Amino acid sequence: MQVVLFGICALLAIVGAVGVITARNPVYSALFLVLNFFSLAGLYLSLEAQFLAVTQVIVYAGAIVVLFLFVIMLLNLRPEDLPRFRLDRTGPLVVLLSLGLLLGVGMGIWSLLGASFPQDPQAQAVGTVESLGRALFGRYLVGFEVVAVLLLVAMIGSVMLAKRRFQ
Amino acid sequence: MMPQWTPYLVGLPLLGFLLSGLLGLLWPRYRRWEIGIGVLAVSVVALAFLLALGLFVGLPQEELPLRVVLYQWIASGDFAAPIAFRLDTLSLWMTLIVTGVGALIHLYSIGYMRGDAGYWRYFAYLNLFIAAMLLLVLADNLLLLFLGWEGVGLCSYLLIGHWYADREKAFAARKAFVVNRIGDFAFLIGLLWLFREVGSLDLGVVLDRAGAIESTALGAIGMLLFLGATGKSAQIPLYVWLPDAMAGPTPVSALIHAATMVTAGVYLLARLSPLYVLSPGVLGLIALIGALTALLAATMALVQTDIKKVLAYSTISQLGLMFLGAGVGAFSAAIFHVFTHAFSKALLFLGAGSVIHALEGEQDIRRMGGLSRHMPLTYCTFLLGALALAGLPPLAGFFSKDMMLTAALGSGHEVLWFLGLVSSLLTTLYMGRLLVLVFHGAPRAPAVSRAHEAPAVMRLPLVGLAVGAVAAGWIGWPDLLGHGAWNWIGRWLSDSTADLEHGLSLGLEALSIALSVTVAVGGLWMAFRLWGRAGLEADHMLQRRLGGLYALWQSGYRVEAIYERLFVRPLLQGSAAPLRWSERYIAGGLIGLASRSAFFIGSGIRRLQTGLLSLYALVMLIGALGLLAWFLWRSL
Amino acid sequence: MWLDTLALMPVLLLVVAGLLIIVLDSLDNDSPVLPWVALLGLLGALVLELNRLGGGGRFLFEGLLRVGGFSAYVNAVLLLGGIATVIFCRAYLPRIWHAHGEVYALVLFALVGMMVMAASYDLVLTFLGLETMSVALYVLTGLAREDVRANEAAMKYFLLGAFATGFVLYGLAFLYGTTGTTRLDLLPTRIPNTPLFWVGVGLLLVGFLFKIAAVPFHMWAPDAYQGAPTPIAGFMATASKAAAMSALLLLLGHGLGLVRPQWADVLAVVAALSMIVGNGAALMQGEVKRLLAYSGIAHVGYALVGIASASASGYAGALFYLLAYASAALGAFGVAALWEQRPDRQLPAEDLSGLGRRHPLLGALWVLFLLSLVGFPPLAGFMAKYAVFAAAVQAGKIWLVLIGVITSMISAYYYLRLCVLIWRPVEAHPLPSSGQLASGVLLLTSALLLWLGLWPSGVLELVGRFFEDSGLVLR
Repeated sequence: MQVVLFGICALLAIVGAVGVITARNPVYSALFLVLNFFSLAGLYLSLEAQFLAVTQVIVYAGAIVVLFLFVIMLLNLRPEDLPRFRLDRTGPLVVLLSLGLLLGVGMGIWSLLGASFPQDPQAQAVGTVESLGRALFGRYLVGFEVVAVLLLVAMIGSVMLAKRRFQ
Repeated sequence: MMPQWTPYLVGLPLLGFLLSGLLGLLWPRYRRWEIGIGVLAVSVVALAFLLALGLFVGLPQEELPLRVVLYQWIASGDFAAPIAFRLDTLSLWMTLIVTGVGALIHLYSIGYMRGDAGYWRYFAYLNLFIAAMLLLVLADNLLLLFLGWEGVGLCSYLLIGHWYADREKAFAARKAFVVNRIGDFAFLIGLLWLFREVGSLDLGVVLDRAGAIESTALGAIGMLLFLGATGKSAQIPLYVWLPDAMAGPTPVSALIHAATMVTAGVYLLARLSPLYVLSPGVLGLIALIGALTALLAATMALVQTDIKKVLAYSTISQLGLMFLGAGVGAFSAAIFHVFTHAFSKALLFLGAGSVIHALEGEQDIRRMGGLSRHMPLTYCTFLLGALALAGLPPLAGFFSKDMMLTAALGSGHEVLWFLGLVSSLLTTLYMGRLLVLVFHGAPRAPAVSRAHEAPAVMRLPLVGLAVGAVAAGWIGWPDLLGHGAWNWIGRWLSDSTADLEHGLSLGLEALSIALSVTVAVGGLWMAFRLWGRAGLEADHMLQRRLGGLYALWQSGYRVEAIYERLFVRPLLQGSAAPLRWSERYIAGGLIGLASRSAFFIGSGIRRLQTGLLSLYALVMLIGALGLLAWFLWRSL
Repeated sequence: MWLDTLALMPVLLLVVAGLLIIVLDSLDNDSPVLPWVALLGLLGALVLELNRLGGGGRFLFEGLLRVGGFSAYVNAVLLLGGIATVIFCRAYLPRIWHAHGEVYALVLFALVGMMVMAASYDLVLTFLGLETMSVALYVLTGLAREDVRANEAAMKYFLLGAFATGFVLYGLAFLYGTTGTTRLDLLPTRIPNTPLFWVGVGLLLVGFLFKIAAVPFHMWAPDAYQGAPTPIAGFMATASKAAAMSALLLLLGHGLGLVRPQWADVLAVVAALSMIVGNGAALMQGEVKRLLAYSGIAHVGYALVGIASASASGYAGALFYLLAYASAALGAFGVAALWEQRPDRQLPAEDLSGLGRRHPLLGALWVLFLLSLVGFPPLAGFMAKYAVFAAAVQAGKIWLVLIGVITSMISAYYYLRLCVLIWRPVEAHPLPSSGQLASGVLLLTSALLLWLGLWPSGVLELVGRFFEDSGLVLR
């Protein structure tokens, strides 16, 4: 059951990811992204990370993609403005190298098939809201705060670049 | 005199540099106050000389060597490099040469550089030059020595390029610097290796433990350090910078050729002589390189037409003799020759400077002649310098050259001894030629008749140096006379250098001396006869007689061209190729690169060259794959 | 917990100063007070960090971070870079009509990210610091929004940076998957010798090597520096490299210290490539900022020589190198920022002609900075090169030292060209902006260079103490 679920979600995730970069119409791209996010949420669920799965759907598939769609529509692009996805001269090389990368990672994973992985005792119940909250406001409080700074930086930066008038 | 004063030897010229430099930088009016600048610069070096003299007189020979620690420079883990000075007979003697001759050259510069826009700069660098050289000579730690070594290289760069607005001169300066860096690089590697073997770079420790180093490592270290010495001392294969280095003001040439810079290599060999005597193979190579350099440079000196270039090749040749001396284990004789050569070569350069000064910049000896009538003092001193350099007894050059040649014979290097003798003969020929073509005969240019003697501030150093050129050799009479009792310099220096003893029979020594006297007298006679009668015509005659050989000498054995083809061009092309590759995409992006797509930013549609971007990402990907492959390979 | 938070005071100070700047900026747009607020925060943080420089490190938050000692040293370097950047920005930004108050806040927040990186003992936190720093730098790079070049630079930096971030996260996932931890203090006891673990390490390294602009992950640097405002380019070349380098040092020296042979050689190769490519490319550059970018790539190579030595003295040498390089590069970028005057913010080398005649002191300082970059004794650069080379020799990597010495010899060529150029007898324009404070910073960094070159013992001893036990345990 779990294997079947994983297979379906993984396949959909890959299809979605490829669709995002190959679709010519940006709206389709965004919709493919939604597909990708949903399948990721499925994968989280299969790992018993319910909270993460829900957040994934609400924040990413919901809020963020909606924002994307708004921006795309506001830009009001005509079809002839849109670039066509095609491989340029370096394309074959890129594909080859990417396959090489995949092969490298695959070899790493292959060598571990059937081996047991060390378990982080803290990770047992990491999927629940409670354990996540304890971790975030306990040991990882600093990290949490740093994320706040990170988001603030992103906000300030985009506002500054977008709003400031210039010569 | 207290040995604690030693740091001031370096400190005084350094202070002069800082004062001149800072005042000149910050206070434009100071730059035109030539008297003040000159007096400051001369007095710090003169004070250093007096200080050295005080140490020389005040410290009994038995108390040497002394170690004066200023402070701890580096102390990290098991490695410590203090700023410490070593006072022994060798360093003290070198200090005397550097400051003494240096002070006279400073004095001369006051007159020579008058009216130059960079007057303050010139004197600041000159002081720094002396400071760096003194640091090199006095350092008790090889790392500190390297500091002086690099400093000397930098100062020569700055001074050779003094008239940097002239492209050719700036290029000469850069060439000197780059060639020196090649030697420095070998030197640094040698130092690091030595540190690895010995665990310290303190001279005392290094010299003590030299015997414990495994012989191949010792040989390699010796070779690397020797290569460094060939860079500074302008030996084969790194001599090419010195002839170009005359692009600098003439007193700078005098300083580089006589008192500082080029003597550093010889000093290094003598300093590390306990290390070198343990690897006879390296010593043999040093002797061979020295003899070859002496011979080849002397032939090139014979065909030069630029007064300063004759002297430059002559310096290379003389340095070759010093390396020959060091190579056969006569380190103290080599240093002795540094001493006598310093006087005669400084004298010759300053004399040449007076001539150039008088002829308003003319350096071509074909447009001189008959100057002896207009510049009697310059002529007299130049004559003494030339004869001393040619090795005419009882002038200074004879004694030291003879000491090295007999050592070469005594150590069984008959061939090298013969090469040395031949280059001595060539020395007399080109010195005679120079003397005759510049001062004798009829004037070959109108400017000669307007020539006049230089001001007193320039004449005084000439006289001082001439005295040295005559008498400096009298502290080291050959064994033949007095059985070594009159060889004061040998006894003084042998405390610090590890000379190889050679049992040369008195008969052979007498033969060697007789031969070199014959060569000196005969060569000079020949030169005066040849050029005295025919003047420039003699050059043409030689050219006809020698044909291809003469052309080969004129082209400097085509070494420059070969280096250009072997190293310079491949290096430039080699570094240009990958660059062109990467930059082509940037330049190409402007014209229209094949791989491109468009990006949209904001409302205005702007095209960005993202083809470039995919190239960058591609390179990153290759790198990432490389890393992965490596780690996988290591772990599988 | 509160005590732990208190120990993070320097970082907090910067956050508070940054927030204050944002608030003040919204009240009085682009007020001239803002740089001073930033400086106040930076100086306060610097004093606090210097104060705990000597003592050993102390773990906070159950081993999440470690302050004092190592991190105090790196943070001091970072803060130095921050102070210089703020002061140069104050002189430079009005000239390109971008004296936005937010810039100072962004510089401070970038520093927050960097300082977290230097102290973090958990790779997740390191990653957060890295991103905070990066996002701020992406924005700062594209500050001159009206300029295509700036847009291009920021876009390239951002996209490639995102690419590198992908590698980091991927690697981090594998690392966690195979060891069950992201904590550097637990990592040494849990290293499995499985290929997947090493795949993770390799991917992680890609991200770090990208941030320090080591070859072959360097391609973005020259474009980014050229497009960014000059003081920001200096900031990127020094502080962001120092932060990523220290994080790399923590990961390799501490987390993976036990398996040094596995990574030392590959790092040596990266170091060699960086030295060769960086110096080789710099040889042909005509634009000063581009040249300095390539020179920075080469200097990263030299610092990596220390890390590749995989010994206590090597790590110490690398740390010393960071300080020496940062001081010299900040100075060089500072002079470039003060002198630059073209509307397109480019500084071709020929524009330097006459600088020395017009402003002898500035010219002399410029020469000093470049000579230190060459590695000329007795300046800091020499001592730093010496420290890393000596460590590499002791580690038996003679070939690496050979490459290092040869390339630094080559580098003398292009640095000296820039040194000579400024003294050309050309009538030059006056300094476009008066920079009394900036000159003060330049004097300070040059004094630092001299001090580090002449009396390096103190700092060398200090950085040596961080790695006393064979480089495995950091104090």
